[in-house]
Amino acid sequence: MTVIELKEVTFGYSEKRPVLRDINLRIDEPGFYCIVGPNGVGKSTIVKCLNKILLPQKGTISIDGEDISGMDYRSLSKKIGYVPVFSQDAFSMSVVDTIMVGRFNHSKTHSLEENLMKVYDAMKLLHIEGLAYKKFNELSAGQHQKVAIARGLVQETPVLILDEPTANLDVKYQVYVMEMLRAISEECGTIVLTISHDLNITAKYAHKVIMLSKPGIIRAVGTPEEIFTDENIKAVYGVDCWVEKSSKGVSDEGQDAGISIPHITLGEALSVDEDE
Amino acid sequence: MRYYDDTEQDPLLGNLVKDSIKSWVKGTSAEDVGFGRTVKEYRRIIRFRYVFIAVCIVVIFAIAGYSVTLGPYGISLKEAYEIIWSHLTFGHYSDTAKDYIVWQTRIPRVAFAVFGGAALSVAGAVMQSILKNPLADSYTTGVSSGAGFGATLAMSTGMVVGSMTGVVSFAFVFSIIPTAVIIAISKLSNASPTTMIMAGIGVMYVFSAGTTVLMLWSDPQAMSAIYAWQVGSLSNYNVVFDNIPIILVVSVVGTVFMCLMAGRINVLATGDESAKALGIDADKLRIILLLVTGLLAAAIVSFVGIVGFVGLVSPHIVRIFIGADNRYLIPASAIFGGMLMLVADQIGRVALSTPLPVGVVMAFIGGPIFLWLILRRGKNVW
Repeated sequence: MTVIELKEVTFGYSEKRPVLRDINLRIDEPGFYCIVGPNGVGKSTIVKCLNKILLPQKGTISIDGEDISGMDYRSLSKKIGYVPVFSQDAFSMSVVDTIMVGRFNHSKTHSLEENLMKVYDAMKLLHIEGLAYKKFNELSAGQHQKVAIARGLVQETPVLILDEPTANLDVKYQVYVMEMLRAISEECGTIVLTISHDLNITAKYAHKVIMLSKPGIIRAVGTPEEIFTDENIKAVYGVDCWVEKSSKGVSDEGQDAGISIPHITLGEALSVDEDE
Repeated sequence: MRYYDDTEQDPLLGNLVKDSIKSWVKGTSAEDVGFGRTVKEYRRIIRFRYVFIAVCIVVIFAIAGYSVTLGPYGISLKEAYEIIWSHLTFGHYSDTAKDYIVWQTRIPRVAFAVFGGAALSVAGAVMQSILKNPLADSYTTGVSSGAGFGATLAMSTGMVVGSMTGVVSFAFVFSIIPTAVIIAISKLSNASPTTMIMAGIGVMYVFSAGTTVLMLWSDPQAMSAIYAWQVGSLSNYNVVFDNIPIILVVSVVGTVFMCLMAGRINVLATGDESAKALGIDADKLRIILLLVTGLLAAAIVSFVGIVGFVGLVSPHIVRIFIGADNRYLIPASAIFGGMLMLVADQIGRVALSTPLPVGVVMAFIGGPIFLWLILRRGKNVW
């Protein structure tokens, strides 16, 4: 079982203003974890520290007890897969070849057919097998996103991190991808960690929510119903809202995981709507 | 825990996710029709890439064969090949005049065109991929202007009059400086690929200004020598048989090295963040590759002068035909670049009564063809 542990991790792009302050976090069981929090609070920064894209000034990050600062990128990439926020490539390859790059670590140990099959399976899972030989740059932003997710999946790592995987997706695929990620975490025993802005969908599908708040600290970690309370949302995002709990969740433990945050009002101005 | 057995139907999507996950976990069978089609298409595309490379190789041999017979001294194809054969078998050819012309002037010219074009194209292809910039080549990274400054310095100050080896060494030493500057800047400031290109352009301007100053100070005779060098030509003193081994080793070693790195270059081209997540130390690899491409381009430019166009454009033309996968792009660019330079040199030799330098021909003919290709393919190539 894979264990990720952050101990007193402090990171700042400049020495004086740390983005993350003394972050302590331990993830020791498979599941679908979502990081939530307002813009600029350090969500992407945490994720980049986990991938050794950024190096913390203080503290240690370890995976399975091994400090990642001592690991090379090759061994780290066998444990953690990463799907960054969408970026357009300067020169685009076909969708198949783009996803195939995700098989980089398996290119020597697996035959071309085996790798192609993994790529095909991932394309099918994301319903993009029809785009196989389209050029990446000819696709829409949402399709790019699906290709990027597929590339993360074929890396076949025990930990998969996705930075806003649903940002460009239509409403159907926002739901689809979130449920899919939850399903993958359960089916494959993977730790899936995402950054998410849609609290409703997060509440519905996440096993655990990691809520960050200013100035770069973890406010709370827990199940969606523990985290998404009126007080927490007010304190972290500064918006008034009410949280409704329903029993129509997908949780298999019979708890009320379905939460909807049906109405968010920003101060007085919008509360007029409420009276109508 | 089986997700698709234990979980109730999702009120939003029904069984869509459950079914998709189920078939994903099970995996596609090798007999699957859709998969079969995907594999077939994959193989077809790879076959096409090999055909493209093969056609270029055939063209090279055809033009090279024609090239050795071309010139004021009439030598037939049969004679030319007899001469080449006699050298390859360490024999002796009776007509020493013809032997000299073929072996000492025409063969070197062909070899420099093919290997020079190949090396410049490989350097261009790799620079474009690793800097994620379609304008990257030995010009925009400053290599050419560094070489130009070095050569001008050697010729204008008369330090190395009559010795082209001196010019080559000067050009080579100075052409490494821009690459060194780019690497230093990227080390100091954690520069992005775009910053690195900008640094290259910055250095280019400094060297160009230096070259201009040197030219203003030099006498007319040196000036014309400098000018001839700057245009880039395959008829200068360096294009002799004794220099073939250098250019051959440089371009073959450089190309083979880049082909071996091609898989990693593909990963690097996805962006630094995802490259690191895929197990590549992006910063380190980029610097190594930049250093090798810098040396590769520097070596060629030092011998033949500033031949533009081939390094920038042949990778683009190759991408239009076979795509951006570096595992094929790099070898194909090498072959295509060699072919392009050879063809351009032939045209330069026969088109007008006065031979035109290869760089000029390439720009005149290649430029419009390139524009046409861009128009035809739209923005989707890049």
